[in-house]
Amino acid sequence: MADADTESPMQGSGASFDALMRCVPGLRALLLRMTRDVEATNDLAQEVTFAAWQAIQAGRLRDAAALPAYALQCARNAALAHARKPRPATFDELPEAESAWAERQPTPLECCEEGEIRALARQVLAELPTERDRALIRGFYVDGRGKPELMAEFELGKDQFDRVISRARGRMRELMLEKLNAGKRAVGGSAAAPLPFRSNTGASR
Amino acid sequence: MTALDHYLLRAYLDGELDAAASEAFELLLLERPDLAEMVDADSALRLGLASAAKAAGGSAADPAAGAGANVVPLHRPARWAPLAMAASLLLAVGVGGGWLLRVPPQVAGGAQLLYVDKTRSGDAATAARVGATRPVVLMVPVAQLDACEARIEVQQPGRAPLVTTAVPDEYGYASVVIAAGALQGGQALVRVSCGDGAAAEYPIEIKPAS
Repeated sequence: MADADTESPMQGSGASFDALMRCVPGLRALLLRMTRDVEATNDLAQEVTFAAWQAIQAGRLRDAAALPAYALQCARNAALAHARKPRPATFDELPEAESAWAERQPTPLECCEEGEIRALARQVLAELPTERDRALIRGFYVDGRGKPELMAEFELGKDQFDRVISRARGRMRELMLEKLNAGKRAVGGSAAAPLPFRSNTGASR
Repeated sequence: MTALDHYLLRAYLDGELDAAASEAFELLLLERPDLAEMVDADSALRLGLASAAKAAGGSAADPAAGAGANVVPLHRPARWAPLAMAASLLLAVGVGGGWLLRVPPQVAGGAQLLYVDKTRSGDAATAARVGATRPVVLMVPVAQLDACEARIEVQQPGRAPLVTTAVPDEYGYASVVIAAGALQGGQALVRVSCGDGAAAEYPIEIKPAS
């Protein structure tokens, strides 16, 4: 029996699996941006990742350079399908892949529960130096008001506006990373993900 | 991240890229976890603040208020926090005869905001639905370059005027509180003056809340 990382371009190799896993943070970010739903993002990210993995194993995706484009299209299709149906499909027919999925490196956002995201967002808001900045962020993120409208209301130039928004985004990322790293310290000594994993479909054997 | 990364990221998040550029950036995103983290941070900020606002009782409520801050639901959040703060600092003191603009004992719980929008034409009345059972927090622009204590007067036909003085906040708005039921349906005129200067007048149309 051959290992799953037996060399064959983009066919169930460990390298291709690594390449796919590297896409996951971006896939999740795109899906969350498209769905605005953390739970749906979790499900869809798995769905898309496994779909891409199956495509690799089936030999439908031979060029490694095409992987991001393929994954991006899968993500769009999945997000559209999600918008049309109440629940995304689950992929429980790939137990080994499920395991590998669970053991991969999570993104900072995945380490935050809904209440924690809310608390971090509040902290970002509270740390902004002026009430004007806070009002700007509330208008942009909470009320969904447009950039030109807010710039006019607060009499801000584009650079000033961008500075406030960028500061808030950057601080949110810092806080989520801090949370991720704190979680890592709390579970110190855990084993690394056992990659490459074996496929249970036999396609790469 | 490079300056170009920052530029593209901001343009992408703000929806300023065309379809082709957006797709190119999204492909880059799949290969750059650091960029993905920034996109996630933007989404998390949006989700977190929306969730906090919802938890606070209204889409435009102050998401930072969840830790016990004094909250009044408003429809114009950009002006809201200073207003609530000003209201809580008891800026309104009634001095007129008959009616008084005064601070109800518990403003924060159910007060309603009435916002005089200075960006609209002074000839156009701002329409507002006002309930009879809740106090009203009235926020008015004070068009004065120098610091002043503004005299604010609310006039309605057939009724004695409501009069008070208030200090504008850093955005040039003064906040006063009107007792529940003190405004009646129909036309109202808000007059704002500082010292001996000419009064600015803002018409308001009060509509009883159904």
